[in-house]
Amino acid sequence: MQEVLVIITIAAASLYLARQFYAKFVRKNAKCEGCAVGKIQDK
Amino acid sequence: MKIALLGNPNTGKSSVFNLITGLRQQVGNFPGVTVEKKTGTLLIDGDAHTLIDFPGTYSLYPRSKDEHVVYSVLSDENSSDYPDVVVVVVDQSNLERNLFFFSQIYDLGLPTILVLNMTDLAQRNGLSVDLEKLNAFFPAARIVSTNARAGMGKERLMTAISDISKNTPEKRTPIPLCPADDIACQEQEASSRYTFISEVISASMSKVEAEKKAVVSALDRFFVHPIFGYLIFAAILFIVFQFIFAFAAIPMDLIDTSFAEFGEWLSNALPNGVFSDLICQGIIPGIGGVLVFVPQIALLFFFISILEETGYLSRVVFIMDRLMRPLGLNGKSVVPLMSSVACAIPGVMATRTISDWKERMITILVAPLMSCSARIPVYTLLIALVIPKTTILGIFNLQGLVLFGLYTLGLVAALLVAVILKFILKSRDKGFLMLELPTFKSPRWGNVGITVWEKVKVFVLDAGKIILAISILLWALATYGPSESMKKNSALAKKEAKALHLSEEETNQRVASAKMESSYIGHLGHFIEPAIKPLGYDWKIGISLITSFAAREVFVGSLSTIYSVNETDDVNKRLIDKMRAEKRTDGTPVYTLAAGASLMVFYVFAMQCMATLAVVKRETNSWKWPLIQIGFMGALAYFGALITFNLLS
Repeated sequence: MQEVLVIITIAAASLYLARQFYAKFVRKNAKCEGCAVGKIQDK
Repeated sequence: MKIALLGNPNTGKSSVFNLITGLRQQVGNFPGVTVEKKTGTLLIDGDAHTLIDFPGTYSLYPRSKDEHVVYSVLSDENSSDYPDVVVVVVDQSNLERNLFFFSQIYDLGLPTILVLNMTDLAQRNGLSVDLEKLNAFFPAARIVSTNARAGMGKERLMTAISDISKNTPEKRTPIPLCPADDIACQEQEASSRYTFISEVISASMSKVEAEKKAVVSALDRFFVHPIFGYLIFAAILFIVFQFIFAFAAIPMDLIDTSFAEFGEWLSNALPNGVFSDLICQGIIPGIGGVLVFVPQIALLFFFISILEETGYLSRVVFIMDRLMRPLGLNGKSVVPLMSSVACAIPGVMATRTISDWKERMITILVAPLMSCSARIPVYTLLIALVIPKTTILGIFNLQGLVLFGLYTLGLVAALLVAVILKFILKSRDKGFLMLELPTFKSPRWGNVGITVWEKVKVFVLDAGKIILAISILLWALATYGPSESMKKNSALAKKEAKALHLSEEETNQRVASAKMESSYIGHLGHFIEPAIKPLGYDWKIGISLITSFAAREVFVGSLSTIYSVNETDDVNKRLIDKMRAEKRTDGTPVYTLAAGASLMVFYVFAMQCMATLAVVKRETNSWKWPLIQIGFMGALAYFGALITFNLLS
């Protein structure tokens, strides 16, 4: 039983960290599409 | 009807917006740019009107991206945000400066309401305005007074808007503005406007209690003095760090002891098994090791908040502006850099007000070098570990002095890197800082309390969740490994212990260390050890360096988890005691002064923050800049730590 709980906890922790990584580096932030310095430089 | 809410920064525009719209607000972007647009719905006599909160600006001539929004909307009648009515909020205690922007808006010919806000502050400064006389200079405008922070004047403003909505006056013929790029014309216009404003002020405003103003001016002569200003700032910072170390010790010990006792109680109460081990060796030490720093973070923000509330921080921005200019930074860079002392994320986002691309980019790149609050757990743990608890000259706490030194090192590094980047990056035009020095006020203790609470909450909840997840994974990686290798190393350790006639406790310790070294984390640690050995670190520190890439404070939680898994006799010893007891294979201590100082220098410079990197990537719309940032900060950290270790060894 304890082994099962450990596996579930580790899986939940891994999923949480993966989600954080995805949200911060991969997912596009629609609200802030044009706030890029690069676009100012392009002007 | 569309109503534009305009005004200089810091006039209480947002308070007026909240006062009249309540919770009927939405946040979006102005078309084509991502300057935030806050809109609200105003219900007057059953009719719904849209109120648009524009970015604060000092003039209609744009210098930054958000100021450009005001200019582009008001100069284009076809814009979807072009208003039917404008409401200009001014700070009554700073009427002269605020009337410059208002007079420009008035000359556009739109139906205009002038809101004299912050009446309480004006009263305290002995200023009073004769509304009739003021109205005589701007006959087409409606003038109302409010104190939005105290919720006063809502009815007067709503009535003025209602009157205009029922009986909208004809648009007057606009007085043309200067072209956006004709600086000479703008200077001439500014000069003639200020001449006119002087007449307005002398006719409509009266001042009493001039002595109070004189006292403020006398204080400012010291606070913004080219020499005393910096000395006072350094002295204040110095005292704050002394207090942090002196006052935080008691609550920190209390939290530390409570966690140790709770862990001990839990390990006795729970049945034996791997899940109980995960809780007692992974989760409790990981979280406890970080929560113990809450008192220091709370104290730091308590002092910062007081400095902000009293109006002193604006003086700091002013004197730092003088320091920044020769280094190639805009004075506007000061605010993001000061914000970065709390956290680099709002600091990087605050650079949006900087109009020049080069200055903005330099500020973004150097902001994470300012020591943020996430570094406090790392700094204070290492300082307590390797710096003696003693006083210098009988009064100055040495540990507080070292903390002050680390913050100064971060600031100096940020300025030096800015100078170097000044010569590398190409620029087109120069920006400037326009800053209002608020009057000195006694702090509102409610606001101080809210700031401290918010910062502690962010530290505990946001960082805490990541620390919890990483502690769990670290525990698993330190407990499990390739089974053959673990069995072989455990048997070897037992055999060696037997040959050396070690006691049962010593044998258990030796077996636990052998198991950990052959665990997954042990393999990873030994893989990176050659790279970090020259800095004075062992493989366990190396693992914590890797995990703290997620966030700097994870370093403390990781060490706590690693040392707990390795512990056989007393799992619930305090982290600092476990670190003090940690020995290398030759029996010498791991945490010497040289190794501890090397680690501190590493954390002053290293870009150990996933969230900041993500924000830099978003703000620069490219992976190039965050990668450059990791590269130069990583090189600074590595070589800084290497030099420190070799100098102190």
